[in-house]
Amino acid sequence: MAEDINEKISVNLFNTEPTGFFWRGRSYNITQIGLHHTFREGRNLIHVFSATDGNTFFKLQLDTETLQWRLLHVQSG
Amino acid sequence: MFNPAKPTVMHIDLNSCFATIEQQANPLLRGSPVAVAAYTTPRGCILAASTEAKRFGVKTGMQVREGRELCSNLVILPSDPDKYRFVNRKLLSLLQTYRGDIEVKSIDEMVMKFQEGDLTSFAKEIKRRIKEEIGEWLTVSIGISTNRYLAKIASNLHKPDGLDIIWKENIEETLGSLQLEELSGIKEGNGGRLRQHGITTPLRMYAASADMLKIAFRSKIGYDWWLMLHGWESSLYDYNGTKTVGHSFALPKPYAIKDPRLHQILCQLVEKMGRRLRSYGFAACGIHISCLFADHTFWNHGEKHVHTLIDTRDLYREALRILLKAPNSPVRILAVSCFSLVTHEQLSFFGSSKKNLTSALDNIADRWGEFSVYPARMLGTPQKVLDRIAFGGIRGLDKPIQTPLV
Repeated sequence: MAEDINEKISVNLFNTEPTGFFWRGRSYNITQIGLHHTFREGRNLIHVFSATDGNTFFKLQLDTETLQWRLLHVQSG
Repeated sequence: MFNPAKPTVMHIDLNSCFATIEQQANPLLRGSPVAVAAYTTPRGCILAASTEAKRFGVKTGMQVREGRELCSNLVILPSDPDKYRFVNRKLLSLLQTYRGDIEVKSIDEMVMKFQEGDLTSFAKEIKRRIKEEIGEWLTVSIGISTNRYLAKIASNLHKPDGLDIIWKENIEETLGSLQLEELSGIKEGNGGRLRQHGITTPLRMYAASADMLKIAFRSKIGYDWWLMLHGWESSLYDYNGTKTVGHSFALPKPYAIKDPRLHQILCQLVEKMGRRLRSYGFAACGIHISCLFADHTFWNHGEKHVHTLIDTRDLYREALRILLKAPNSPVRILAVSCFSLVTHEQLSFFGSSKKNLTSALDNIADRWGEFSVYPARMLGTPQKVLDRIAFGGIRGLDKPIQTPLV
């Protein structure tokens, strides 16, 4: 099941890469980052991490202008 | 005579590009049949199928519904152009570490021309480095030959993850293993012309004289085909610069020509077209509109103007005027393009006040993103024109990715 989320989250980092995050009262451990890509919205640089905890796929986004992390998308099953 | 030189041209083709990149991004999808579609709805068009999906017969151009009929557990994903552009530029950055001239042919194809060196070793190293530096799931098929055309043919011989060379020693054996329509650039039309003259296989085409091919193609391009098949470069394969700039959009729900919602979509397309036109340093003298209607009929019309057009408002006004000449039927696909391009330096009718305003609006979009400021007629637009990657050659993909600054 795939779901667009687009909610603010808090993220644990190691060497600028997310290792886990806290969302809706629950923490998730990231076991693998499949792809880290960037794009620009105007002059703002946006980082996107496509990641998994082994069971569920997550798409996390960092806006380097606001330094805000968001969980964009979840796909399970 | 086949070109006796050493093969120095390498064609690099990222296998099942969009689908493989999605599998790279989402490790849970690796090994599963995946397709990327323009829309994930049953009538959406499949843009790319993964190697696993291709085994079920899923192909580019099929509808999502047709793909699911062939493969019930097919995973359908929407297109994510930023991701694909990123991988394209990472690949370009990687290739730029080699001493060769690079030509970006499309989002998933690049050509390198070397002066010297062992290209087979380079190819193996490039394959390894792509896995190490871009993504372990990504594979490329690499073709090597004495010209760009045969290098591309070589890259198609084994997919995925192929590495083939076509040169004087194996040209006949290689062409002997192919059907006429398996040659890039030969489809039903050209295939039919060739067969009328007894050229039924690539090998017979190779054996035919340049004069014979000119007769078969009814054009001087027959000589270009002779050159290409014999390993020499031909102008037929050259990039001749940008001739048009345009955008198209497949509407999920058809709107009639006079429907204001269609005009809002046209406005978005023209905004995007105008931004690209100016970023390439061009203005246009002509506008062309084409419509594919819901009943599968087609209409198109282009007009050339005395004045050059560069401001989005002028481009929209002309585009709308042309669109309103079309029959008032429901439109499924709307396309707008501008042609007869001239460089900014050639402009003489472009007033400085309009130039300053256009430049200011472009600066805002550069700083804050596309559509930060947009025409009032786009207010409440129900249908957004999605970002897409065009098939074939693309401008704007020839710059390497810059190191991100957090």
